[in-house]
Amino acid sequence: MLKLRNIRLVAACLASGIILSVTQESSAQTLQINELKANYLVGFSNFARWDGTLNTEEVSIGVLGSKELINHLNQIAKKKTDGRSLNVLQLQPGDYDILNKVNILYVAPGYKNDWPKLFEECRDQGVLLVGEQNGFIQSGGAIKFVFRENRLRFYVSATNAKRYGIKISSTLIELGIDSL
Amino acid sequence: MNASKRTLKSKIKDLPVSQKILAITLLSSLATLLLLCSISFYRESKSFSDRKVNELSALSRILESNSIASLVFDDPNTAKKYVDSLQHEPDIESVSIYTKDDQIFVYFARSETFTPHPAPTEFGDRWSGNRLFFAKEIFLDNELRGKILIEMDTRSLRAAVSQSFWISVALLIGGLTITLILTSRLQKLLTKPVEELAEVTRNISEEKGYNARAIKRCDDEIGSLVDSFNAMLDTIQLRDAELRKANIGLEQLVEARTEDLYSRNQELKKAIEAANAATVAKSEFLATTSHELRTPLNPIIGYAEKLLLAEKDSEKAKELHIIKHSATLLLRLIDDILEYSRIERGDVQLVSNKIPFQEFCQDLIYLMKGDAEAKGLTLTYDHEGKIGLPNEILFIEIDEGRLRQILLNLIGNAIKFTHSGSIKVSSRFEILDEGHGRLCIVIQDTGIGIEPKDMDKLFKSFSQVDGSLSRRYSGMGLGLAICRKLVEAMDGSIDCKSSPGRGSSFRFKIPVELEPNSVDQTSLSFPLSLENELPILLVEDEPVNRELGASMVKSMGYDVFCAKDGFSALELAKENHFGVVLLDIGMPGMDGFAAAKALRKQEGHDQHTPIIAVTANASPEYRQRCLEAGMDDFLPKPLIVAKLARVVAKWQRKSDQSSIQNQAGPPSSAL
Repeated sequence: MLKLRNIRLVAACLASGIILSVTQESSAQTLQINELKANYLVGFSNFARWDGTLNTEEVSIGVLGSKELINHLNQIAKKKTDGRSLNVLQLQPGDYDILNKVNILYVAPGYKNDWPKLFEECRDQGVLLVGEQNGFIQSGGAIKFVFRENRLRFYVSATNAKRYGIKISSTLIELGIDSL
Repeated sequence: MNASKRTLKSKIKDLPVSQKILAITLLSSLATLLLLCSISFYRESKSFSDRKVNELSALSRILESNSIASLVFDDPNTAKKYVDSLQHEPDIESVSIYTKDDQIFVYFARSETFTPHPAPTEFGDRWSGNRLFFAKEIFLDNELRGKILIEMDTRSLRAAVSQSFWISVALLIGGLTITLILTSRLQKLLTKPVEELAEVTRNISEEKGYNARAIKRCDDEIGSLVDSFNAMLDTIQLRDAELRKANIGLEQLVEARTEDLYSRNQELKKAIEAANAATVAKSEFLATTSHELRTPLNPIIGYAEKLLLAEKDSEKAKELHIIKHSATLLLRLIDDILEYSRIERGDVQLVSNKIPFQEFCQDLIYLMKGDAEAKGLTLTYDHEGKIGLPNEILFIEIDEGRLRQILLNLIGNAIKFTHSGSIKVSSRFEILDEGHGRLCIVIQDTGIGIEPKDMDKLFKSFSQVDGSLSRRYSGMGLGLAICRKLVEAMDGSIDCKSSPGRGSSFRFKIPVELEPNSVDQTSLSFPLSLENELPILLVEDEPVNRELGASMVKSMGYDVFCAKDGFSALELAKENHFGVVLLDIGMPGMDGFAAAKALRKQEGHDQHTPIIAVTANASPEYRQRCLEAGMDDFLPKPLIVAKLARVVAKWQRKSDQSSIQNQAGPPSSAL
């Protein structure tokens, strides 16, 4: 009986160890992916052309959700010494009045219900919408991150971007997995 | 290099004109083409390489633009597509793209064994062997995103450059060939007229055919040269003709002048011969005159003197004295005239010999004393021996005959123009430096003196102070003129101080060489006769003179042998030993010169009999000839007892001393 109890304890420990280690690895990967996403978001600004009023001296990236991504973006903004400066804005659902200050808006997963209103508001402001939840492109988003073959890739919809007054560079389109 | 240039230049210089033109054109073309081809080749090579570099630069920019997104979004697959697209460029060997961390991101290589190059650190083009590398940095938003390195094979470039080079060489050769062909054909335009002109010139210079003319073929500078040349030939022909005419005239003129010159030369020659003959005749005449005038005077004076000695106290003594005085006066006049004529001829020859000065003066005073005393005058001599040298001086080098002549003239004048009182002769030496000095002699009288206005006439020829004096005092006024000429000939000077009625003082200075005398002067007082002396040989052809001479010698206390000519003298000298030989010069058969030589030849090595020339020819040349013939002294005729006595005594004594020395050691040479 005791023996069986011991075996269960060991098994439980092992299981909890495995779970812990998987969790830690998954957390590290998340951090790396967020860093990549942050870099990609900054990179997008170089391959898209806004009609109208984009201040060429400064790029504003708004983030809805994902605090880690904001942290990474802030780190990049701090490091930047040359070129256009980077302005990072943290948005909450319903913060539509500051959309006119945003050039690129990242919408983290979990805000699918806000998309219609959000997309509607962004249409007049010329905001490049970047998301990663399924259906984002189909709903009107321009770029959607996807994790493929252990690499961060993205879908690009030049048509959707055009609706928001933004022209996507052919180079960027070519790098996208499939143009939708 | 410079030497080779010079050689090339000198080689071209010596070429014929046609080849010279060819060479110059070819060299110029070669230089021009070489320069052009070099510039062209350089430009083409540079253009090739620049084009390649530009090509690579453009490619790198395209690649940068295409791959930058791949670098930003970490998509090597897309980048690879762009890189691989360059495989269609045949010269591109490899293309590498590096991340900003210098990690290889993607590359393309033509070679399968390619190893990626390290990320570049320097950018732009870099040539290495057959490769051209071009490196570029990739920036996005001023941020380094990566690097590109393109490697190109440059062999095709080199092939193009090489092709360009050979094209240049071909152009060069082609250009030179065209130049050669064209120049060879066209140079004849220049050279033919020049060659023709040269040919004409050569013919003219070789064959002297001034009728030939060069043909004018063109109107350029060579044509002008031909015209000028032909014109020159015309002028030469004309001048030739004129010259020929002038030559003929000149030849005639030269011929005439030559004849004229020849005849003048002949006349001149005759005139010179005549002048020479006249000079010789004049000299001979003077010598003969001297001889002939002296010869009769010799017995007159000699016998008068002899008779005076014998009849010293008789009544006839006065008449005899007048005869002797007149004869002596006549002799002096003859001497003056002859001497003056010799001086006027510029024929004063000085013959210096060494004489004991004081002895010489004492002799002279002794000679003149008789004349002075006959007029009731006192004649004294004093030598100041205090300046620099002691009393025992002196032998001096001087022309004895001339000095005697000067003193005789001055003392004779003093006696002549002094009627009462005295005549003082004083001498001294001024020492200049060792061995050199100046002889100063002053003759002071208490005579009639000279007016100051007459002083300038004093030393002039044929002038006496006053015309009336000429009548009152005999003489021709030559004495002082002769004195001055002789003193000046001896580099000396003469002057006179006088006050009328109180007397005159004549002073002359002559530079001389001095030699202290070690002989005791006291021993130089001469006895008029000596006992136990060797006999004297008198050689004289003239019977009267021989007899007179013999009686004079005898009166001096010597034994005398007489010979009438040279041969007899030689015979006598063979058999006897004589103290002195008195030798006449002008003798028939063997003259005095020959006799002297024969006597010297006859003598033994240790024997030297003094030979004294006794001659009526008193010229210095004659005296020199006598000494050269081996004679020791010279005594001009007419013979005067006192003079003869002193000379004989002098040589007798010398002969004795010589004999003594000969016994003691080697013989000394004659004076």
